[in-house]
Amino acid sequence: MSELSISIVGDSALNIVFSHTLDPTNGSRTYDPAGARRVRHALRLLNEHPIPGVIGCTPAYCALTIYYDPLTVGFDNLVHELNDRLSPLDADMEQWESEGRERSVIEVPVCYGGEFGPDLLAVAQACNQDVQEVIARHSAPTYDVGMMGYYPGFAYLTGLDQSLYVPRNLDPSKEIPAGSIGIGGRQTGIYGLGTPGDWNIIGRTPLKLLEITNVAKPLLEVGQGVKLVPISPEEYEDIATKVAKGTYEPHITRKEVQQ
Amino acid sequence: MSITVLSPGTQTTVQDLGRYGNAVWGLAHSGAMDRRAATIANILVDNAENAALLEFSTVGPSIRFDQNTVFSFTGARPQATLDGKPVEGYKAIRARKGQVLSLGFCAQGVYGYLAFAGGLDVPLVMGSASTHVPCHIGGYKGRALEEGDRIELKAEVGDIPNLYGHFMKRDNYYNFGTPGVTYIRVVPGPHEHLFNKRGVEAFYNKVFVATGKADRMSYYLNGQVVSTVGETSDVMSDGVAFGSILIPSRGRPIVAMADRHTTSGVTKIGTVASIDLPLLVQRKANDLIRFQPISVYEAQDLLREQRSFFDALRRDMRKPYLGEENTRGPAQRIAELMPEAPTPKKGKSKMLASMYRNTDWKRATQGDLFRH
Repeated sequence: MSELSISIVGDSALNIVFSHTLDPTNGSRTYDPAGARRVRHALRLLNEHPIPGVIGCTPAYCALTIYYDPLTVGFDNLVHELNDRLSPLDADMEQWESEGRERSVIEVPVCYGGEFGPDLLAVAQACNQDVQEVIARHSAPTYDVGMMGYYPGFAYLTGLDQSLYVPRNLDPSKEIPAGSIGIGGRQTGIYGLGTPGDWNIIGRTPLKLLEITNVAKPLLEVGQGVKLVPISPEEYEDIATKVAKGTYEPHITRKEVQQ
Repeated sequence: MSITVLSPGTQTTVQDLGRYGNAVWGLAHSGAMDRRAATIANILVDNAENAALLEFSTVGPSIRFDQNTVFSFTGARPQATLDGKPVEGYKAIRARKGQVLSLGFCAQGVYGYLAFAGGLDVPLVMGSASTHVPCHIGGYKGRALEEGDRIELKAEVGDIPNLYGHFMKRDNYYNFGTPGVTYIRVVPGPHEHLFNKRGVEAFYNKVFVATGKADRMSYYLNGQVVSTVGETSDVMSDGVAFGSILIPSRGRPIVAMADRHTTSGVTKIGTVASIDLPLLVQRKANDLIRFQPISVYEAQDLLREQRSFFDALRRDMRKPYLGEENTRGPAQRIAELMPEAPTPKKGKSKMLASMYRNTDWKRATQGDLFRH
């Protein structure tokens, strides 16, 4: 692989930019599936071979943000180390993917509409579809967790049906409960914790996506598959009770990686 | 043993230097807003730099000591009293069981730090004592302090060796009380190329005003619109650092703070150099700010200089200090007999004091670090 494309994020972070496509309107990087795969693969390589001084990473669609302690590793040395560790990235990724690896797909039950999805009707109207059609289209794909961020445990899912693109809500101050499923522009996602947000909320899952005690293990992780399964309000209550008791086991299947 | 909160002040939380390794699922690093002041507060009471301490904002807390300890406070300048008698910041002060420390309103600065010898004893969450209020984790029950809270201290420390040597002259770094524009250094990128020439020029040549709309998540500025190449300033979401300067479509800068959102789909014109973050977070509403570009290398050199400054400060604390009576002899015992740390007088004694306290010559040789 050629030299990494690095952009500077101050004195204690940098972005490795993997997307090769540009938005013609402003020249910013746009989503490019190959770039997104490189981001995840680079994250995997860096987790396997950590660089001293690197204190965290944020994988996003087009770039991987690396946070580091400049007193341990200066900018030039870090860039050198990254180029070194990630030089086999493309070859390694090809081989890794050609091995027919499986990935886990987690089933996330979702109760669409009603009190759990107050914006479902508005979304249906905006998309010129009836509610059942929106639910069917939204729950049809197997999504990928493209990135996690914004707020702890918020999972951005890639693969939204184009007919469901709806602009974000104008009022971003609305408090959105944990587990809510929303559509924001061309993206869909799940709120891991309750927080204000500007996405259109169409449903909610009774699963606990993030529980932080003295450790935190988010239910979802970047690169994982997510299949949304529509459920009734009765099923929602039933699963919520089991989740509260700690007796609910999420259904996880393994599927071969399709790239 | 412990301290008891009599009055919590404004948004007083337990902090340390942050919680790392969880940005991959969206958890911000948190930690002290002003790391310089937090670090110095801990050094002043012989603590590790990452020891848990209290961060207060504009109005400090009142606390009762349920045990003997030694404390120090730094950063914003409150009108502090110990049992009704005024006490000063930037020095180690003995507190006896039953005494009451009231920090009150900060006439200058925003964030203050109160450190205790040995540090606060709170359960670590993912390796850190920092409170992240939005997630209700860390610190004391994951929230800001309330009246009646009792927080344990890690140790009962009646005294620290060479107590009166544990002080620092006012930290001139902040330039408190000097009217005019505060220069904040910025490392350009990652999206500077998405701004047009006019936008970049406006950003570095115009004066911005602190709006006072500021908290541990974000710091809002007002002023000239900073224009982008495209119609909107949307980008595909990417990582946000402490100090990332976001320019939304409305065009005024928002600086991401310690409890920030970890990703954002807004263009980032630059990142505040870590050395100047304390300077920024201590600015109050209507303060004037101008940004200055520096390279990532300069910004990292400044952090290395600050590191040497902290190391020198810690060494300094350990030197016997007697002000005018600058004899090394039985320094510590004499110091214990003195009711208060002597204030160096002007003239000869000041010279002696400055020879002894190398923070003064550091200031001269590390011009850039203290430059304004």
